[in-house]
Amino acid sequence: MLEQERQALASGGLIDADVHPFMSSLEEMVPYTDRTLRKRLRIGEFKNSSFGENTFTSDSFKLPFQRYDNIGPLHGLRTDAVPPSGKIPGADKEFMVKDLLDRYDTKFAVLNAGGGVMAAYHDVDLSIEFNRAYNDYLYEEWVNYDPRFKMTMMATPLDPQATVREIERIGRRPGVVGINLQNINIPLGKRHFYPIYEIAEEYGLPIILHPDAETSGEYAPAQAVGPASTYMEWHTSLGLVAQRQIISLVCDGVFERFPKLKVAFIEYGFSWLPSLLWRIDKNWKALREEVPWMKRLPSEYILQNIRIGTQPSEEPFYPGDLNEIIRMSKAEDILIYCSDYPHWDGDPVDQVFRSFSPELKEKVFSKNGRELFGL
Amino acid sequence: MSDQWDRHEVCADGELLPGMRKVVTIRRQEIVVLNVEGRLYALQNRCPHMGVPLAHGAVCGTMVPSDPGTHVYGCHNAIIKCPLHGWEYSLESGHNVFASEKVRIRTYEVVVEDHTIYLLTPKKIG
Ligand code: FES
Repeated sequence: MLEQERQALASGGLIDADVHPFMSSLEEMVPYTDRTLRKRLRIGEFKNSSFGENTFTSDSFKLPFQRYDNIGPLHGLRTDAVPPSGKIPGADKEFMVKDLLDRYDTKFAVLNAGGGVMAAYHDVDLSIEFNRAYNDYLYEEWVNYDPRFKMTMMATPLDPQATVREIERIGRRPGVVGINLQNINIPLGKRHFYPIYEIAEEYGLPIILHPDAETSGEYAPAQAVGPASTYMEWHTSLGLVAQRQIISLVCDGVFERFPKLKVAFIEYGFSWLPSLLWRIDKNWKALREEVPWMKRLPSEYILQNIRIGTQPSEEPFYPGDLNEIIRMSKAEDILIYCSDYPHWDGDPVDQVFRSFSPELKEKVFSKNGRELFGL
Repeated sequence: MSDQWDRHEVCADGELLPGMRKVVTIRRQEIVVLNVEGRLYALQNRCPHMGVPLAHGAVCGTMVPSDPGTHVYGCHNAIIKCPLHGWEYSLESGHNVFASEKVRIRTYEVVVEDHTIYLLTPKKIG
């Protein structure tokens, strides 16, 4: 890291809001599952087994298929993050600690489940059971491994009541710093989600949105105009999902009902912010009669209650213009650095945002993240 | 009264019946005088947003600030809505409903004397 960053971060340390742990195989979840779930996932004693004395080869349960496949050799994982153990990138804790936390002097890294989450899976009961076991796995295997690891807990957005019970079960554990909700085809402003928002606000846990269900879930939100043709088209469109969800949250009055709730959009980029803020304010001035519960400019709710992960940072024709984008959207207090390790589209802390002032770096790399996650 | 105000004749009161509007030009400024259910209002005719004449705006009520998920109708016929982008102004005070401190149109006193409608503007000093 450059000396400049070191100084900027001297007070609070680097907070990385998006790091992905991967499992080499579902077998890693065996200690956190009961027999029934092992049977459903065909792991542990049910791996390669069938009835009677006959043994058949049967693959374990397949995590939801990601329809948009990255064309890289490791499907979007960095080839420079392959650990010496030969595991897939992100699956070797010991290596990740060295390759990411030690190398960049990361104070806290927030782990968000990577690679085919079960949030928007069609079998909601299985999704609930899986997420419960996965949360225990992530906590025991990762958060307890290194105090710098924190985690967002997986939620099941299709069943808010079950999600509330899961938050009650583990939401107060130290190290659980957010709720990884995942997008489904119900806009986030709808009252379907209010039980989750209520307990999230009570527990002081931010809601995190991170792309995955957009490609892996059957309940994925349509991408504005219909399915993308390629991974490139899909990935470029992700910013639209975040904008649509922010508009829904604000217009349906979620932040009037839950004024302390924070919702963070991680991995949707941020350069679209000025357009969103200006357009929603302009429309409110004309159309506020439809949403009379909005008592302030919509942009004020966004800047107060929404947080945005910086990655994948857009690269303007003139790099310094990112500063202008942030100034134009008054966003210096809502942007939070994310490396997205070990994904192909990550932002290394020592290379990205080199045109930022030390004050802005301090906010983006440290202060804003510490405040959001209570670190 | 005449010490402080200039009086400008608008028209005979029978010429501005309920529901009617009349635009007058005073010191090169257009002012619209409206009869809303027998009550007279006068306001600057130019919307400060993009300059459209408010004389073409609907007089209406609106949804007053309320709790999320509820609508409460109020300000019945106390608001004029700009015909272009729909900003809402109080006929009485000229305040914009969405940001009353920041945007305001000028409003004027209207009086009726001897069956004639007069509009009052502050007397120019000096
Ligand atoms: S010109 Fe009146 S609201 Fe735009």
